[in-house]
Amino acid sequence: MTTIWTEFGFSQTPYRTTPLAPNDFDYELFTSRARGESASFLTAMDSNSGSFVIVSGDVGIGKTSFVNIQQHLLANGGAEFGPTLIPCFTSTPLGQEDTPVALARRFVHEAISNIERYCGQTNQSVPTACAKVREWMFSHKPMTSGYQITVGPLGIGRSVVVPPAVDATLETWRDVLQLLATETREHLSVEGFVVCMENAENCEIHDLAKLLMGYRDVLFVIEGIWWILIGPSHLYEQLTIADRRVSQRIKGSGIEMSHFTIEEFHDLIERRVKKYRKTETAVSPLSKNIHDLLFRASKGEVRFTLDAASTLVDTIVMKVREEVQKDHLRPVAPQVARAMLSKVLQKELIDKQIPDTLAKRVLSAEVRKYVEQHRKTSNFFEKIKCFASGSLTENDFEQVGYDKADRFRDEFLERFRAEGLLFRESREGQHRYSLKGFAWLANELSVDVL
Amino acid sequence: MGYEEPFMQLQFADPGWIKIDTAVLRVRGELSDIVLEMDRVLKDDAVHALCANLGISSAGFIFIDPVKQFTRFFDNDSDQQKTYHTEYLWQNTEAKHLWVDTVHRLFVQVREAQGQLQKSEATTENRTEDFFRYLPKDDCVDVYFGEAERNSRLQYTLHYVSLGETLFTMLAWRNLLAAVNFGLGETSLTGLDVPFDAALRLPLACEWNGASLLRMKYADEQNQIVELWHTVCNSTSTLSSVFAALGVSASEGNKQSLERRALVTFIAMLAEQPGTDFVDLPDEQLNLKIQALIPCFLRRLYSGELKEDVLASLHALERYARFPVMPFHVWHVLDGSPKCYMVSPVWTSQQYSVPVDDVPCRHLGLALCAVQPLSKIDWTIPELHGSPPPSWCSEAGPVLVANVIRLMARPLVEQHLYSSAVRELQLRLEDEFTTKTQNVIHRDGELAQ
Repeated sequence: MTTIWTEFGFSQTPYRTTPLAPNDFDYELFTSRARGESASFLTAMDSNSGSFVIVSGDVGIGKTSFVNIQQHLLANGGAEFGPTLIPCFTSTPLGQEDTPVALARRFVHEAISNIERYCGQTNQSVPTACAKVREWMFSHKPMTSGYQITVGPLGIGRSVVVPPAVDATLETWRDVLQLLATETREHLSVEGFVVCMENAENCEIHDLAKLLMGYRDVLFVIEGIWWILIGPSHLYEQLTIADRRVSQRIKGSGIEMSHFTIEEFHDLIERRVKKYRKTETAVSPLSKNIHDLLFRASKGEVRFTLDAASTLVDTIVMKVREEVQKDHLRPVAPQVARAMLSKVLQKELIDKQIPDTLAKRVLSAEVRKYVEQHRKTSNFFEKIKCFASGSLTENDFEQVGYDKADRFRDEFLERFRAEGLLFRESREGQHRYSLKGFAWLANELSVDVL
Repeated sequence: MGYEEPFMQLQFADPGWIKIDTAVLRVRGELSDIVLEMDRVLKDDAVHALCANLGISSAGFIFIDPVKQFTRFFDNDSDQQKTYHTEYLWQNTEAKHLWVDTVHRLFVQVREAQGQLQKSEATTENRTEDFFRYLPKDDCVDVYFGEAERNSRLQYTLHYVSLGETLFTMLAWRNLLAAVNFGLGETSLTGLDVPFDAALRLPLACEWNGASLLRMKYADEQNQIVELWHTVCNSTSTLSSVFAALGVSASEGNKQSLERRALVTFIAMLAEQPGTDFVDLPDEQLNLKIQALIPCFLRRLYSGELKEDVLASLHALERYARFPVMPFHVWHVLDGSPKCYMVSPVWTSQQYSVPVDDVPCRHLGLALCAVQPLSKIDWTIPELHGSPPPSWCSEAGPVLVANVIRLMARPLVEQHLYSSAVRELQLRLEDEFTTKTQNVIHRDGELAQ
């Protein structure tokens, strides 16, 4: 498929926002943080029979990428220490609607897929248990009695008697997971596999604690399975408060991911440009200055920075293309004109790097549009002027025209934090809120709406 | 003219034809890729066999861009060619091994000299090269020898030089060269009597129309041309040995050879003595006849004023001969088999032309070929009356030969004309878009919403 990136000499966007996957290619894109999270993670995973690890941090700072790359290292012996594990190529997202049994079914399904994929990559035979479990899970034959999953030569070996999949209980799924883990350990020269749950922020903390409590002595004790839960900042502490029994099962005290520094972010971009470019001389389409600007706006939320950079390049290319094409009268086939314009845009815009002045002009226009959009639906931007010179706490409610601190917090601060326009940090036991994202950019670029 | 093509089936079944046709349909990319690929295909065994069957001893393609005044042809000073040619087919494989590349370079050098002359004398845009001058243009044939030749030129739009004329021209040229060699350059052509058996002195200059053919970038290649020329001069050190080398000598029962009969047929036409058979004349007498007919021959080729001394006549002959005499002569002597010159249009423009003697010539892509004498259109080759033709003679029809050559040239037609026009347009488009893009990037104010 042709995108502006393939059109301009990249195999894909250097501003990719999808998480890195556990493979060699993405490993080279990984920028490790200098603050020891990797060692903490490997320590937490370092067990003979399994463990339960929490990785937490702010939205969009690269938690999933971090976990995937660590899994890759554990899978291929690249980690300094820790068990050899089949990585979880596809995580299981948590949702408010999921029942413990439905989730357990997904764990089994994902585990089979991950084992099969790993075997494919390492040229090993898939343990027969995988096919048998899959057959049981997706069998459409009416069954009134149980089903026997037998593994081993001539039907003599380990076997599990299970009811039809629709009637499976949490204990049934435990037995099946146990079978898979044992088979994996015996046949694939690994110590087990990883099951990864993510998007814990989708669940209320008490619901999450309840769910994990339900699994605690059923699933989390299975030998040969390493469990990882990815969730919001300080998840471990929140779970401890909600139900100490859950955190007792957790190895260590959770890995709290720090934000990228600006230098680390530049390294991240550089790696992607180098990896995705088709020519040796390719540079990033936006300058370091613009990357800095967007990174500062994001308050370290790298996904926002990448997404904003990608959108900015898209918008600039689209607008310049429109302007150039506007009065084009030469009688040539549209596809010829398009191809030539692409060549020129690559040469003048991408290869030479988009000039900062142009990037800022377009960024200002986009911010203005965004601001205008919000002005119609709320009075946010009138109030937000109060943040221009620094940060506010809920106790500053009067400055912003609220009568109570908790109303200011719930109706304004937390609402717009959720929209990515305010950043919250804890200082001296207090939450302080400052501008973020487009709101920060509007202030920085002096967009006249403010 | 009720001419029937004997090989019309060939184009659908012949492996050589299929090779060329397939390549023409598939070849793509930059000019260098196309030249390389077509060069490879044209040297394929099946194509080699097809050319041998049709009597195409070599064919190279030349294209003119009248707008940019650019001529696409081989360049001895360049490592990357912009056109291609078929493999040179020789009868004498040992000689081929030694001389094939040098003969090609010699052809290119003569073309280069012709081009230089055209540029240096250009008071008008008129093209003066033989391939333009003598190719029929819009039902107009200025120079011809007899109605049969005129008719076949008009019918096939080909410039084909008969075997008789080829041999006569070579012998006239060698006589003039010999005269210059004997110090007779400034004497009048009238009453010229060059000793028939006297040895010529070496070295003879390697020139065309007074211009050296050794102006080349690489010394090795210059030396090879000198060596080639000296080899030819050594093996034809008297006019009688030239007669023998060209297969027209009456000695050793050769009196009725096709070459000699073609020559005397042409001489009879030139002498306006049709029906007179000069075949029994001793070689020396025949040579005197040739010497005597040189002024008449030159007047047939060029209607303007010509100086009458030997050197001027030599230059005039080199300049107005209907084929590049020196390389043809060299090749004939080394290979021991006659070749005739043929020019066939491979692309004719509907819009553009180049002036030739103030007449527009719209044939802007040409195949410059050496062919075995084509018995179907060569009026100097006598009827064979059922006896098999010699191996150096081709019975192929001119339409088929021209069609095969046109097919070979097709990739260059696009490269030279269509691609060049498209590239021109693309460059203009690129300039336009670049200027506009730079304006949009660097101007103040918002971009379109």
